[in-house]
Amino acid sequence: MKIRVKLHKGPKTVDIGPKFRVIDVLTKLGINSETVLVKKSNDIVLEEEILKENDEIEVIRIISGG
Amino acid sequence: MQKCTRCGKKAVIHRKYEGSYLCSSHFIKAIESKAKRTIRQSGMVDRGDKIAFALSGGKDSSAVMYLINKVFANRDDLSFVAFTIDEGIPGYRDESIEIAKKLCSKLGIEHHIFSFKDEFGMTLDEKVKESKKSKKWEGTACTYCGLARRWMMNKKSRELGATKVCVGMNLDDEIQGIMMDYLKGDISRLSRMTGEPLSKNKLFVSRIKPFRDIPEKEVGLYAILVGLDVQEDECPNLEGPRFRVRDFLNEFEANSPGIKFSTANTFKRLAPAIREVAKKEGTKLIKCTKCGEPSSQKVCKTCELWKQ
Ligand SMILES: [Zn+2]
Ligand SMILES: [Zn+2]
Repeated sequence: MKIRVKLHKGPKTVDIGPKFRVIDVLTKLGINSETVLVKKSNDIVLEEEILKENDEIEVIRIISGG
Repeated sequence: MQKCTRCGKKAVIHRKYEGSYLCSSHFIKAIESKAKRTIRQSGMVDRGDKIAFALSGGKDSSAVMYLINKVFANRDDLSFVAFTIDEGIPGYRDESIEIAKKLCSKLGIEHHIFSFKDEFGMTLDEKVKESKKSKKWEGTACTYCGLARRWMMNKKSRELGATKVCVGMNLDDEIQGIMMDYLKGDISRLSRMTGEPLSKNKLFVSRIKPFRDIPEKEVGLYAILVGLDVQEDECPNLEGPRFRVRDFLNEFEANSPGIKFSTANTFKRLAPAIREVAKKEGTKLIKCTKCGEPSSQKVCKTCELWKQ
Protein backbone atom coordinates (compact mmCIF):
# COMPACT_ATOMS: atom_id res chain seq x y z
CA MET A 1 0.00 0.00 0.00
CA LYS A 2 1.11 3.54 -0.71
CA ILE A 3 1.51 6.46 1.69
CA ARG A 4 2.16 10.07 0.67
CA VAL A 5 4.78 11.76 2.84
CA LYS A 6 5.39 15.49 3.11
CA LEU A 7 9.05 16.04 3.95
CA HIS A 8 11.27 19.06 4.53
CA LYS A 9 12.87 18.46 1.15
CA GLY A 10 9.60 17.87 -0.72
CA PRO A 11 6.91 15.21 -1.07
CA LYS A 12 7.55 11.52 -1.53
CA THR A 13 5.42 8.46 -2.00
CA VAL A 14 6.37 5.40 -0.01
CA ASP A 15 5.24 1.85 -0.69
CA ILE A 16 5.23 0.15 2.67
CA GLY A 17 3.87 -3.24 1.74
CA PRO A 18 2.20 -5.27 4.43
CA LYS A 19 3.25 -3.21 7.43
CA PHE A 20 1.31 -0.10 8.13
CA ARG A 21 2.41 2.05 11.05
CA VAL A 22 4.03 5.51 11.03
CA ILE A 23 7.25 4.03 12.37
CA ASP A 24 7.46 1.68 9.37
CA VAL A 25 7.29 4.61 6.96
CA LEU A 26 10.06 6.38 8.89
CA THR A 27 12.21 3.26 8.92
CA LYS A 28 11.68 2.84 5.20
CA LEU A 29 12.84 6.43 4.66
CA GLY A 30 15.84 5.96 6.94
CA ILE A 31 14.57 8.56 9.40
CA ASN A 32 15.26 8.11 13.11
CA SER A 33 12.01 8.64 15.02
CA GLU A 34 13.90 10.55 17.73
CA THR A 35 14.56 13.36 15.25
CA VAL A 36 11.06 14.02 13.91
CA LEU A 37 7.42 14.55 14.77
CA VAL A 38 4.69 13.31 12.48
CA LYS A 39 1.37 14.89 11.65
CA LYS A 40 -1.63 13.35 9.91
CA SER A 41 -4.44 15.70 8.86
CA ASN A 42 -2.68 18.41 10.88
CA ASP A 43 -2.74 16.37 14.09
CA ILE A 44 0.30 14.97 15.85
CA VAL A 45 0.27 11.18 15.62
CA LEU A 46 2.28 8.55 17.47
CA GLU A 47 4.77 6.29 15.75
CA GLU A 48 2.49 3.33 16.38
CA GLU A 49 -0.42 5.05 14.58
CA ILE A 50 -1.82 2.69 11.98
CA LEU A 51 -2.01 4.05 8.44
CA LYS A 52 -4.44 3.39 5.63
CA GLU A 53 -3.87 3.28 1.88
CA ASN A 54 -3.27 6.78 0.46
CA ASP A 55 -2.95 8.39 3.86
CA GLU A 56 -0.87 11.54 3.79
CA ILE A 57 1.52 12.27 6.61
CA GLU A 58 3.83 15.20 7.29
CA VAL A 59 7.26 14.62 8.78
CA ILE A 60 8.56 17.58 10.80
CA ARG A 61 12.25 17.58 11.57
CA ILE A 62 12.88 18.82 15.10
CA ILE A 63 16.61 18.40 15.59
CA SER A 64 18.24 21.77 15.96
CA GLY A 65 20.16 23.44 13.21
CA GLY A 66 23.13 24.57 15.25
CA MET B 1 -5.88 5.42 18.89
CA GLN B 2 -3.73 5.50 22.01
CA LYS B 3 -5.17 7.26 25.04
CA CYS B 4 -3.65 9.56 27.65
CA THR B 5 -2.64 7.54 30.71
CA ARG B 6 -4.00 10.32 32.94
CA CYS B 7 -7.30 11.35 31.35
CA GLY B 8 -8.10 9.05 28.44
CA LYS B 9 -8.04 11.75 25.73
CA LYS B 10 -6.13 11.20 22.49
CA ALA B 11 -2.39 10.87 23.18
CA VAL B 12 0.18 13.04 21.38
CA ILE B 13 3.21 11.28 22.81
CA HIS B 14 4.31 7.87 23.92
CA ARG B 15 7.05 8.28 26.49
CA LYS B 16 8.67 4.91 26.11
CA TYR B 17 11.22 5.70 28.79
CA GLU B 18 8.48 5.82 31.42
CA GLY B 19 5.80 3.77 29.71
CA SER B 20 3.21 6.54 29.60
CA TYR B 21 0.95 8.18 27.03
CA LEU B 22 0.02 11.85 27.35
CA CYS B 23 -2.61 14.04 25.71
CA SER B 24 -1.77 17.55 24.59
CA SER B 25 -2.78 19.34 27.77
CA HIS B 26 -1.20 16.81 30.14
CA PHE B 27 1.98 16.86 28.06
CA ILE B 28 2.18 20.68 28.20
CA LYS B 29 1.65 20.55 31.97
CA ALA B 30 4.30 17.86 32.33
CA ILE B 31 6.90 19.90 30.40
CA GLU B 32 6.17 23.06 32.35
CA SER B 33 6.41 21.37 35.72
CA LYS B 34 9.59 19.56 34.71
CA ALA B 35 11.23 22.82 33.64
CA LYS B 36 10.09 24.45 36.88
CA ARG B 37 11.57 21.57 38.86
CA THR B 38 14.92 21.93 37.02
CA ILE B 39 14.90 25.67 37.72
CA ARG B 40 14.12 25.13 41.39
CA GLN B 41 16.61 22.31 41.91
CA SER B 42 19.50 24.27 40.47
CA GLY B 43 18.45 27.67 41.79
CA MET B 44 18.40 29.06 38.26
CA VAL B 45 16.08 31.97 39.02
CA ASP B 46 16.57 34.33 41.97
CA ARG B 47 14.46 37.20 43.25
CA GLY B 48 14.88 40.34 41.17
CA ASP B 49 16.67 38.60 38.30
CA LYS B 50 16.84 40.24 34.91
CA ILE B 51 16.85 37.34 32.49
CA ALA B 52 18.26 37.79 29.00
CA PHE B 53 17.03 35.24 26.48
CA ALA B 54 19.56 34.24 23.84
CA LEU B 55 16.89 33.82 21.19
CA SER B 56 17.97 32.24 17.91
CA GLY B 57 14.47 31.92 16.53
CA GLY B 58 14.78 28.14 16.58
CA LYS B 59 12.38 25.95 18.52
CA ASP B 60 14.49 25.53 21.66
CA SER B 61 15.16 29.16 22.48
CA SER B 62 11.65 30.21 21.40
CA ALA B 63 10.05 27.53 23.55
CA VAL B 64 12.13 28.26 26.64
CA MET B 65 11.34 31.97 26.43
CA TYR B 66 7.65 31.24 25.94
CA LEU B 67 7.63 28.86 28.90
CA ILE B 68 9.50 31.14 31.32
CA ASN B 69 7.32 34.07 30.35
CA LYS B 70 4.26 31.90 31.01
CA VAL B 71 5.19 30.17 34.26
CA PHE B 72 6.65 33.31 35.83
CA ALA B 73 3.87 35.60 34.63
CA ASN B 74 2.99 36.66 38.16
CA ARG B 75 6.54 37.31 39.31
CA ASP B 76 6.74 41.11 39.23
CA ASP B 77 10.26 41.05 40.59
CA LEU B 78 11.62 39.47 37.39
CA SER B 79 12.33 41.30 34.15
CA PHE B 80 13.03 39.92 30.70
CA VAL B 81 14.96 41.01 27.64
CA ALA B 82 15.91 39.04 24.50
CA PHE B 83 18.61 39.23 21.86
CA THR B 84 19.42 37.45 18.64
CA ILE B 85 22.91 37.08 17.28
CA ASP B 86 23.23 37.53 13.53
CA GLU B 87 26.23 35.54 12.31
CA GLY B 88 25.65 36.62 8.74
CA ILE B 89 25.09 33.20 7.24
CA PRO B 90 23.37 33.98 3.93
CA GLY B 91 19.84 32.66 3.59
CA TYR B 92 19.86 31.00 6.98
CA ARG B 93 19.52 33.64 9.64
CA ASP B 94 17.07 36.09 8.02
CA GLU B 95 13.98 33.98 8.56
CA SER B 96 14.82 33.08 12.14
CA ILE B 97 15.43 36.74 13.00
CA GLU B 98 11.92 37.51 11.77
CA ILE B 99 10.51 34.67 13.88
CA ALA B 100 12.42 35.96 16.92
CA LYS B 101 11.18 39.53 16.43
CA LYS B 102 7.58 38.42 16.04
CA LEU B 103 7.63 36.25 19.15
CA CYS B 104 9.12 39.04 21.26
CA SER B 105 6.53 41.53 20.14
CA LYS B 106 3.78 38.99 20.80
CA LEU B 107 5.05 38.36 24.34
CA GLY B 108 5.95 42.00 24.94
CA ILE B 109 9.65 41.33 25.49
CA GLU B 110 12.26 43.91 24.45
CA HIS B 111 14.37 42.51 21.60
CA HIS B 112 17.86 43.35 20.31
CA ILE B 113 19.83 42.12 17.32
CA PHE B 114 23.62 41.97 17.55
CA SER B 115 25.70 41.05 14.54
CA PHE B 116 29.16 39.54 14.04
CA LYS B 117 29.65 42.25 11.43
CA ASP B 118 29.20 45.06 13.96
CA GLU B 119 31.17 43.32 16.67
CA PHE B 120 34.07 41.86 14.68
CA GLY B 121 33.88 43.79 11.43
CA MET B 122 33.13 40.60 9.56
CA THR B 123 30.31 38.11 9.01
CA LEU B 124 30.98 34.43 9.63
CA ASP B 125 31.26 33.75 5.91
CA GLU B 126 33.72 36.58 5.40
CA LYS B 127 35.76 35.38 8.36
CA VAL B 128 35.89 31.82 7.07
CA LYS B 129 37.02 33.00 3.62
CA GLU B 130 39.65 35.30 5.08
CA SER B 131 41.08 32.71 7.46
CA LYS B 132 41.29 30.07 4.77
CA LYS B 133 43.10 32.50 2.50
CA SER B 134 45.61 33.55 5.15
CA LYS B 135 46.20 29.86 6.01
CA LYS B 136 45.31 30.59 9.63
CA TRP B 137 42.34 28.27 9.34
CA GLU B 138 41.60 26.36 12.54
CA GLY B 139 38.99 23.67 12.90
CA THR B 140 35.64 24.28 11.26
CA ALA B 141 33.20 27.15 10.68
CA CYS B 142 31.42 25.85 13.79
CA THR B 143 34.55 26.53 15.86
CA TYR B 144 34.63 30.18 14.79
CA CYS B 145 30.89 30.58 15.08
CA GLY B 146 30.50 28.88 18.45
CA LEU B 147 33.34 30.83 20.04
CA ALA B 148 32.10 34.17 18.79
CA ARG B 149 28.52 33.41 19.74
CA ARG B 150 29.36 32.40 23.31
CA TRP B 151 31.62 35.43 23.65
CA MET B 152 28.91 37.80 22.43
CA MET B 153 26.22 36.09 24.48
CA ASN B 154 28.12 36.82 27.67
CA LYS B 155 29.22 40.34 26.75
CA LYS B 156 25.83 41.46 25.48
CA SER B 157 23.95 39.99 28.43
CA ARG B 158 26.25 41.86 30.79
CA GLU B 159 25.85 45.08 28.82
CA LEU B 160 22.07 44.69 28.94
CA GLY B 161 22.33 44.52 32.71
CA ALA B 162 21.12 40.93 32.84
CA THR B 163 21.81 38.78 35.88
CA LYS B 164 21.13 35.53 33.99
CA VAL B 165 21.28 34.50 30.38
CA CYS B 166 18.76 31.84 29.43
CA VAL B 167 19.55 29.41 26.62
CA GLY B 168 17.37 26.75 25.01
CA MET B 169 19.78 23.86 25.47
CA ASN B 170 17.89 20.60 25.93
CA LEU B 171 18.78 17.14 27.22
CA ASP B 172 20.16 16.10 23.83
CA ASP B 173 22.45 19.14 23.60
CA GLU B 174 23.57 18.47 27.13
CA ILE B 175 24.54 14.84 26.66
CA GLN B 176 26.13 15.54 23.26
CA GLY B 177 28.33 18.07 25.03
CA ILE B 178 29.16 15.63 27.81
CA MET B 179 30.07 12.91 25.31
CA MET B 180 32.17 15.28 23.22
CA ASP B 181 34.13 16.58 26.21
CA TYR B 182 34.57 13.04 27.41
CA LEU B 183 35.80 11.83 24.04
CA LYS B 184 38.18 14.77 23.72
CA GLY B 185 39.33 14.48 27.33
CA ASP B 186 38.41 18.07 28.10
CA ILE B 187 37.99 17.82 31.89
CA SER B 188 37.87 21.56 32.38
CA ARG B 189 34.92 21.96 30.03
CA LEU B 190 33.32 18.84 31.39
CA SER B 191 33.48 20.29 34.88
CA ARG B 192 31.83 23.49 33.68
CA MET B 193 29.01 21.33 32.26
CA THR B 194 28.24 20.17 35.80
CA GLY B 195 26.40 23.45 36.06
CA GLU B 196 27.10 24.27 39.66
CA PRO B 197 28.15 26.19 41.47
CA LEU B 198 27.18 28.95 39.07
CA SER B 199 30.35 30.87 38.39
CA LYS B 200 31.17 33.45 41.02
CA ASN B 201 33.25 35.41 38.51
CA LYS B 202 31.58 38.81 38.05
CA LEU B 203 32.48 38.90 34.37
CA PHE B 204 30.35 35.85 33.72
CA VAL B 205 26.62 36.21 33.42
CA SER B 206 25.37 32.82 34.66
CA ARG B 207 23.90 30.74 31.88
CA ILE B 208 20.70 28.93 32.78
CA LYS B 209 19.26 25.95 30.90
CA PRO B 210 15.71 25.22 32.06
CA PHE B 211 15.31 22.52 29.35
CA ARG B 212 18.40 20.64 30.47
CA ASP B 213 16.29 17.64 31.52
CA ILE B 214 13.88 17.63 28.56
CA PRO B 215 14.57 15.57 25.41
CA GLU B 216 14.85 17.55 22.19
CA LYS B 217 11.90 15.77 20.64
CA GLU B 218 9.67 16.85 23.54
CA VAL B 219 10.84 20.46 23.27
CA GLY B 220 9.82 20.32 19.61
CA LEU B 221 6.45 18.85 20.47
CA TYR B 222 5.88 21.47 23.17
CA ALA B 223 6.74 24.24 20.71
CA ILE B 224 4.27 22.90 18.14
CA LEU B 225 1.48 22.35 20.66
CA VAL B 226 1.70 25.86 22.11
CA GLY B 227 1.65 27.26 18.58
CA LEU B 228 5.23 28.43 18.07
CA ASP B 229 6.80 28.66 14.65
CA VAL B 230 9.22 25.74 14.44
CA GLN B 231 10.04 25.59 10.76
CA GLU B 232 13.77 25.78 10.80
CA ASP B 233 16.41 25.17 8.22
CA GLU B 234 19.55 23.37 9.11
CA CYS B 235 22.60 25.61 9.37
CA PRO B 236 24.54 25.14 6.11
CA ASN B 237 27.83 24.99 8.01
CA LEU B 238 26.92 21.95 10.10
CA GLU B 239 29.78 19.54 10.28
CA GLY B 240 32.07 17.80 12.65
CA PRO B 241 32.10 14.99 15.15
CA ARG B 242 29.35 16.48 17.31
CA PHE B 243 26.79 15.45 14.73
CA ARG B 244 28.06 11.91 14.61
CA VAL B 245 27.69 11.81 18.39
CA ARG B 246 24.16 13.19 18.02
CA ASP B 247 23.20 10.53 15.49
CA PHE B 248 24.74 7.80 17.60
CA LEU B 249 22.82 8.88 20.70
CA ASN B 250 19.54 9.09 18.77
CA GLU B 251 20.01 5.66 17.34
CA PHE B 252 20.83 4.29 20.76
CA GLU B 253 17.77 5.96 22.31
CA ALA B 254 15.44 4.59 19.64
CA ASN B 255 16.60 1.07 20.47
CA SER B 256 17.06 1.48 24.21
CA PRO B 257 14.63 4.12 25.47
CA GLY B 258 15.96 5.96 28.48
CA ILE B 259 19.68 6.08 27.69
CA LYS B 260 19.57 9.86 27.24
CA PHE B 261 18.35 10.27 30.80
CA SER B 262 20.76 7.71 32.19
CA THR B 263 23.70 9.40 30.45
CA ALA B 264 22.75 12.72 32.03
CA ASN B 265 22.10 11.12 35.42
CA THR B 266 25.42 9.28 35.47
CA PHE B 267 27.08 12.59 34.75
CA LYS B 268 25.20 14.34 37.55
CA ARG B 269 26.25 11.64 40.01
CA LEU B 270 29.88 11.91 38.91
CA ALA B 271 29.84 15.71 38.92
CA PRO B 272 31.48 16.20 42.35
CA ALA B 273 34.33 13.89 41.34
CA ILE B 274 34.75 15.62 37.99
CA ARG B 275 34.90 19.01 39.69
CA GLU B 276 37.51 17.63 42.08
CA VAL B 277 39.75 16.47 39.23
CA ALA B 278 39.28 19.72 37.35
CA LYS B 279 40.24 21.68 40.45
CA LYS B 280 43.42 19.66 40.87
CA GLU B 281 44.37 20.18 37.23
CA GLY B 282 43.31 23.79 37.76
CA THR B 283 42.61 26.21 34.96
CA LYS B 284 42.11 29.66 36.42
CA LEU B 285 40.00 32.28 34.74
CA ILE B 286 41.61 35.66 34.14
CA LYS B 287 40.60 38.71 32.13
CA CYS B 288 41.58 38.58 28.46
CA THR B 289 44.10 41.40 27.97
CA LYS B 290 42.53 42.33 24.63
CA CYS B 291 38.77 42.30 25.26
CA GLY B 292 38.38 42.00 29.02
CA GLU B 293 36.16 38.92 28.80
CA PRO B 294 36.92 35.97 31.06
CA SER B 295 39.54 33.61 29.64
CA SER B 296 41.93 30.87 30.71
CA GLN B 297 44.75 32.39 28.66
CA LYS B 298 46.18 35.91 28.45
CA VAL B 299 44.43 36.41 25.12
CA CYS B 300 41.14 34.57 24.79
CA LYS B 301 40.44 32.19 21.94
CA THR B 302 37.82 34.52 20.46
CA CYS B 303 40.29 37.40 20.23
CA GLU B 304 42.92 35.05 18.85
CA LEU B 305 40.67 33.88 16.04
CA TRP B 306 38.46 36.92 15.48
CA LYS B 307 40.23 40.06 16.55
CA GLN B 308 43.52 40.32 14.75
ZN1 LIG C 1 -4.60 13.79 29.43
ZN1 LIG D 1 39.53 38.39 24.31
